[in-house]
Amino acid sequence: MRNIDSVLRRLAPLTAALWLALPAAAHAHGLVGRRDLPVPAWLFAWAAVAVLVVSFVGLGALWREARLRRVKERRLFAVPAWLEIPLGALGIALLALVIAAGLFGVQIDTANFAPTAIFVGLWVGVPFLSLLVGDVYRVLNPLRALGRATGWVAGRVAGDRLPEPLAFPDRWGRWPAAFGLFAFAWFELAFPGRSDPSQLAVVVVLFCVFHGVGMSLYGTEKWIDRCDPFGAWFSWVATIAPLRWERGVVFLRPPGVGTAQRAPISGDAALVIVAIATTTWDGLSGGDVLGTTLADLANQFANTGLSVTWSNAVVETVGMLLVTGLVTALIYGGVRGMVPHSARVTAAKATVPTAEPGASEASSAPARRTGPPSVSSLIRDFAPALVPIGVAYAVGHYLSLLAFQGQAIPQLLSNPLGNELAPGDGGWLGTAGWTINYDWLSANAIWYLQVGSLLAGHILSLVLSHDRALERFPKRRAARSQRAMLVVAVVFTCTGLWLLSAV
Amino acid sequence: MYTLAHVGHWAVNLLYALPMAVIGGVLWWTSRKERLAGGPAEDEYWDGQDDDQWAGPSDVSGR
Repeated sequence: MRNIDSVLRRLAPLTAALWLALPAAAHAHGLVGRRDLPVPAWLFAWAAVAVLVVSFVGLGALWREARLRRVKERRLFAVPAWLEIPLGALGIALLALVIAAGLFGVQIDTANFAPTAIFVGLWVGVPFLSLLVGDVYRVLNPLRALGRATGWVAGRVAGDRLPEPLAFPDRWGRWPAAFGLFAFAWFELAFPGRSDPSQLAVVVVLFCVFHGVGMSLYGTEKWIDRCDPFGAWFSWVATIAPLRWERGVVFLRPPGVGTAQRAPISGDAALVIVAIATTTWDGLSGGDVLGTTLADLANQFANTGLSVTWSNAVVETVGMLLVTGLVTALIYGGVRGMVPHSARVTAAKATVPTAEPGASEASSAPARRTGPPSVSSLIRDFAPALVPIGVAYAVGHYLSLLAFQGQAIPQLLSNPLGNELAPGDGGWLGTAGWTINYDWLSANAIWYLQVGSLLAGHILSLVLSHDRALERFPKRRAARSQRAMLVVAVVFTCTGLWLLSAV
Repeated sequence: MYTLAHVGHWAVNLLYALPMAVIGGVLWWTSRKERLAGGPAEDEYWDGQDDDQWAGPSDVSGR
């Protein structure tokens, strides 16, 4: 533990040194034109840090009671329960369309529906939607819909002979979903065939088979909750939304309250760490920051006999693992900083063994200080406070991709296989001729939205962490326990803005 | 000119790293007494009065 601590103590200067050693940053997924900002981009980072520090001080001075878990939701309206059936069917239809387009359509990634549907529609579009209107993926999730439909049919056919699902090992928590999310990110960023629609379709089929087997063994709802990477991550994203749907009723709540009210389990922190780290790596590797260096490294690997594409994959994989390790260490350090503030004195009677056989086993003992909680239990308890950081990174990083490439979805939906169409033929929905409008959102507007989302996400993270500390630790030490988390928020904010600033 | 441009790039990166170093350094320096003592002063330890306050996040969702 002492060794780990000494490593973490050196992390901050190391991180700062990384900034000095690298050339200035540029966009990943950069679909943004030239900005014309009134002040240099780095000044936004300074201003953001100033706002974070003021927020931190304000929280310590004014937010004296844990209150987020006591906030009541307001019932808005009821939604017919049967609506889940057509929405689930829609999810299954889109999944089938992705597989069919990938296998039988033209093998050009921009003309085929499958890559845009998965990498823009699912991975970027659904979280943005979830952030606004709640957990829509739960009802659209084709895996869940297929599992429930299969279960319903099997129940009708087999009746009482249908065996009960196996008990899901609780110790797994959401670790399977975290590993699944890392695997998806690896596929998106490192796998050589990621832009090949047919290979993408095969991977989607394998994904469905794997989860189909899991759902049949452990039950649909449990498996989806714990093992489906998209279901698990999007459900956390949706906790920030002002709306919540449950059993046909829609509730209204202040944004972010749902994140504080959801119970974290083992693996949730890993899920968020993977989301943050893979987005960070996407920003680092996709732009000018490491692009040339990575290409040189890949060429070195290629000299050893590996193909160029697989050399790239090795370099990307190592980079993703390194950044995931760095993000984990940074968050570990932030949570480790809380431990000295969490020791408590208890006046409870301690149980002490007695020497005489048959005598009472318990006797009164003086008040004693109980041991501090483990870092792993604190990381689990504070995992919800990390969710806004992961969401802010995703919004900042993918905003321009969704704003522009997202416009291709209606066009591709009308012609999912990418076939040649006659002039004037609009395809299935009449939208095949639509083109992408790159002028509707200026580069300046995108920058301000990115800065705003990063800042809002990190302030919300500080609020959630402070509120949780008031529950978890003695009140007078709650604010002080969060100082290391302030450093974590500052590092993530500066890193995010650095990656987004095409200097 | 290349050297100047290269140094300029480094300087810009430094400007992004500076707030991290400043905030980290300030908090590191102001907590030196606690770190040297291995934690907050003994008389600051909690007296257990709020012991029933922390019920754990799992209580909300009934997990």
